[in-house]
Amino acid sequence: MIEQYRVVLRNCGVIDPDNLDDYIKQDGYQALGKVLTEMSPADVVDEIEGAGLRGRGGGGFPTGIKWKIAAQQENDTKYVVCNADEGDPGAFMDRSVIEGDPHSLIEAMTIAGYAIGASMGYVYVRAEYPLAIERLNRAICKAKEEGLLGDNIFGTDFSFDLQIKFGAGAFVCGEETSLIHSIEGYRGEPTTKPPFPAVEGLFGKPTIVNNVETFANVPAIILKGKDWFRSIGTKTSPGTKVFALAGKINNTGLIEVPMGTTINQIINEIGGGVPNGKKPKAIQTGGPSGGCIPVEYFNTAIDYESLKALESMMGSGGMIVLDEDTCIVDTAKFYLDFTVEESCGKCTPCRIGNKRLLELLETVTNGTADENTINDIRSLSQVIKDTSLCGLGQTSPNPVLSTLKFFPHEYKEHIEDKKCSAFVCKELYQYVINDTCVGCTLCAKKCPVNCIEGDKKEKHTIVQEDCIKCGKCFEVCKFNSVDRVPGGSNV
Amino acid sequence: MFKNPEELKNYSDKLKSEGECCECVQVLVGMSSCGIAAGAKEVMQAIQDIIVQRDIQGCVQVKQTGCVGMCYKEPTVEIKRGGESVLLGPVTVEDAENVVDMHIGNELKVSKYVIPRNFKSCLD
Amino acid sequence: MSKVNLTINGVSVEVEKGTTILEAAKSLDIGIPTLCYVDLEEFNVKNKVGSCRVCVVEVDGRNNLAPSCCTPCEEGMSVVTNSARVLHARRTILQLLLSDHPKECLTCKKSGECELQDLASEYRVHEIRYEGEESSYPTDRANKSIYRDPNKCIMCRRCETACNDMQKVGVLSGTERGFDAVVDTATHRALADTHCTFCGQCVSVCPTGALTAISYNQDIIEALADPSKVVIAQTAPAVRVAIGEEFGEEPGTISTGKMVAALKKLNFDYVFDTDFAADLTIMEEAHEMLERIKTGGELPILTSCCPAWVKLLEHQFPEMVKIPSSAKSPQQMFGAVTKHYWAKKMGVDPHNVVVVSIMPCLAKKYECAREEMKCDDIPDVDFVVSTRELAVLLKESGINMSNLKEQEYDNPLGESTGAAVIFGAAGGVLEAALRTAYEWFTGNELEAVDFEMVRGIDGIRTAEVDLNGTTIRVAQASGLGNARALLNKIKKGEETFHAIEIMACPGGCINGGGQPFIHGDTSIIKKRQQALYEIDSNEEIRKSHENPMIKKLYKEWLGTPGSHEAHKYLHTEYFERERT
Repeated sequence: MIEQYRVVLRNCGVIDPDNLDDYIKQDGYQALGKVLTEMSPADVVDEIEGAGLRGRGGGGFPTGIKWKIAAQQENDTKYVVCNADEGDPGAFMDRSVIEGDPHSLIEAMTIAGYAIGASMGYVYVRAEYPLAIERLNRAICKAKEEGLLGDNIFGTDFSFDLQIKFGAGAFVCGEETSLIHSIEGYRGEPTTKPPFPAVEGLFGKPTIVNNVETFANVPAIILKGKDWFRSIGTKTSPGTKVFALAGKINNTGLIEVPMGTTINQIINEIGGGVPNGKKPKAIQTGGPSGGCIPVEYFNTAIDYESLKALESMMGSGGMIVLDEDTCIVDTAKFYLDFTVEESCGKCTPCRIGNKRLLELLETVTNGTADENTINDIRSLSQVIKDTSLCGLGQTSPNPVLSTLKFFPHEYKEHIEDKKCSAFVCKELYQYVINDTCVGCTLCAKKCPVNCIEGDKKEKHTIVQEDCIKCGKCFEVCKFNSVDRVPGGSNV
Repeated sequence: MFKNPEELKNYSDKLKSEGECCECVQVLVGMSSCGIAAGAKEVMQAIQDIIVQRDIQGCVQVKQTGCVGMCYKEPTVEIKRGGESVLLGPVTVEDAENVVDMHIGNELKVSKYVIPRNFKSCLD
Repeated sequence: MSKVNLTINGVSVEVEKGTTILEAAKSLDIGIPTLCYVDLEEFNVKNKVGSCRVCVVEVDGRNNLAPSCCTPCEEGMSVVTNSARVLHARRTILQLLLSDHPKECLTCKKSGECELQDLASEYRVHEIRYEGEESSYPTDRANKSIYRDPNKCIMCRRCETACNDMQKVGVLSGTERGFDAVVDTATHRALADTHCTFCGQCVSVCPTGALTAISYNQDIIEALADPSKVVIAQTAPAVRVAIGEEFGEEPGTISTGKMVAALKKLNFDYVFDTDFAADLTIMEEAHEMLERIKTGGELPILTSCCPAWVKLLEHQFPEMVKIPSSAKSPQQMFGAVTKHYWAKKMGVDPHNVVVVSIMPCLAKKYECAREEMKCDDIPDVDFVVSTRELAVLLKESGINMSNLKEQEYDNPLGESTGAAVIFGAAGGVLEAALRTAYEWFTGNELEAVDFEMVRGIDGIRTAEVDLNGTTIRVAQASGLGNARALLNKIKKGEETFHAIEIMACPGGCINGGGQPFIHGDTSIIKKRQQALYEIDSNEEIRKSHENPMIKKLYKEWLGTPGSHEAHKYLHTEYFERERT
């Protein structure tokens, strides 16, 4: 039986987030103390680099290298920014960490400030997280009172201050250049890299942007050492990963496991399997930038590389379990729909391309696709990946491409047979009443749009043109007289 | 105000040694947004009320904590005594009395509320 | 500057560090299409947001394609600009843009001048593979100058760069997101309800038909055909050095005589010159300036010939609203003189006189409709035609201006000096004023009339001028961004001046919002500038107060500069306006 191992979540659910003593009791701020009195900034960067910590926001860029680049820039002003603009559907690890353990973030950002030579940090947190903001605010005040933040921390020459900036909930502001523009007061949209923020970031100054989970690892690495951290996880992806387990799974929630844990272990041993005796079909990881990994690959040991090899990605840690009742085309459409909504609209491929891609998917799910549709989808997806300005657009076709790769039969079924086996795509199935109907009139009474006709004690019929496929008749019939069958207006 | 890391370390050690008293009971209610949405605030109040009713407030401390990660068991309550603890959930307002009596009063280690703890912490 | 070496399509090239792939390719004469990119080199403004993605190229070792307009060259880079992957991506991008673009090219105002249309043609986009929902935004023509059709916006953000970075007016910006994203005003107000100055620089840079001028050509055609109307044309200084471009002439070609001939062919009853009114403006402005200097009045005096600049002042510097010269702009003075002096002399009812201004400007359309721009309830000017729209009027009447024989302006309002024609270039008004002020102030003849130090299209120029022992400090700023910077310095007391010329458009009217499109080639503006100074240097009379017709006008009608009569017809006032 696999056990979770908590590094990032070490204090969540253990301490009172509003009580600094609780944090101190858990060795809180001792990493900062160690850094300020026993280590040079270069030592800190080396420790993080040596630990092999990679960006937990999704990209997996080595954190130490990011810090090193920023540290090497000669500039009086530099910034540390924490990306707490958690936007992936179903992901909430950043919120939990800030709500449950705000001081670890403060401590980590201060350590980062010391490492790169910054004296100012910003936490960019979505305004939809009022409790996180409230607790973080209190923690900042308390840390300042106790000399753990602000001027001359621990009586040393080092000063570091933190400010909270609110995000208005635009998904694209999770992209670091967009986030920076948003803090600067501009429209939250990305700019081309290079220049990378570590060279030219917030207000034109060298800036590191790391996500909450990445920062939460830092104090533990400093206290326990890079070798300890490397002893957890896999060779290329040391440490743990927090996942938000959701979808068709019994034990929904936040879990933290060593990198290298298999999908099966997560689903079955930690997640408690799929409810209602259904079979799992796939997991979706990486949110709108990721993909669907089919059940055949559930023995995959999760790390940045293995997920990428499966056309998905780590992402910030959303893990949604799909069972056999899920339509994979519909799932791809859901994520693309999200991207279309959340695109900033700056570049052509993301603004218009994704909209067109979504429209192509809609033809698949509504039965109007033809033999060219798959080619069009692939071709357009490739151009969107090739030409989009930022990570959001460059990865937005991933849910489509990964499902096309692993579930080609489902696309084929939709297009050629005009059939959705999961009975999800409403244009591809219909409800019909079979000959066992006794004319009890219950379905007709329950029908919200009054589209079931028939006299009492006579067989009823559904007027297909008016039916909204709500399934009420199917649910309420006591005689199994309502069938759900392939077919529909476009079929 | 910590003037140097040593002061902090000493303070931390002091806090740790104070926590060793085996008579005190700590009740931790998961009060992140998720817990609060599931009713944790009311549960916390209910537990406090019952503790007053039972007149055991002298040796029981009710505290908020963050999210333990078990959405499917929210609201969650952890009861710690000495070095031991049980994690419970879901605990509703209606369950509060039961929980206090069973797990504080009778020091039960097993009940329908107990959630098996399947994680270790790097601080353990 | 260090150098980097790279290859583009197999050809090695060494460029300075920081050079973009697009610039490096250009140096090798390798064409890469662009849409959003624009480099207004002379004005130090670049739009390199990298949003359209038409300029993508393949860079060895990169997973995705790189936008050449904003990707710096790196040592050892290997770039391919024309691979199948690149061409396919570009064609797809064009198809995507067209899939959300009205298919009305044939009737679009921008047809023939549209950069998207050109590219679609160049890339032979004969079919749009991906069709679907099209955006639908309300259009805005609730003002006199600028027509906005956001449905044709391709989010290139050039207008935003012009409005925000260059002009620092800040009316246009990206709004909404995803498929709905479009450049618009804050809270989607009509331009008329914003602090837009109608400078028209957004129109100048818009690659498509999303921003165009509001045209009164049809009204003019009807007026010209109406026998009861006496239709007068006045031509602004900057038009004569730009209109030729519309007929295939080299930039900087002086077309004064041919333009006059063309206007006569259009059946204007009289073709007069705004330059005449420019000389008149100098009479009033120089007088006012010297009065203020002599009597300790409020300084600096600011020029007021540019309506976009005046509107900026009214919105952004309301506390300074009393400082500009109260003299109307030449266009308005011309209208007032025509309708209240000339018409009387000719025995024509001023109500039947239609004054049509040929202007390099879109703000002039707004200006002539300002409530106070009338005398005795008769508007000074009836219609404004931009340089581009004049070309349309001529072409649709089958008039090929290039082939016409030069003709002279009609008199008396066609007579002007070299001082007047340089109004069209940044620094010109100031120079013209100095030529007159010097002589009036000192009583001596000014021998060296060229005030080179105030000439320049590069933003801000300052100079000290010796008026026989009295030194006055003068400055000129062109481009509203530069104007704002200069005014802020004055506000803070960092600089003091006696007189300042401000033009809304960078470089002055030669770069006005109504001029022929330069498609990012700012060297054209320099050529237009040189042409204006060439006209000036060839003029026999180069000081406004020496214009014989001006002298006659004062003698017969106005008396002296600053007189009661002059104030009634030639001066105006300014109002504090809200900042939106």
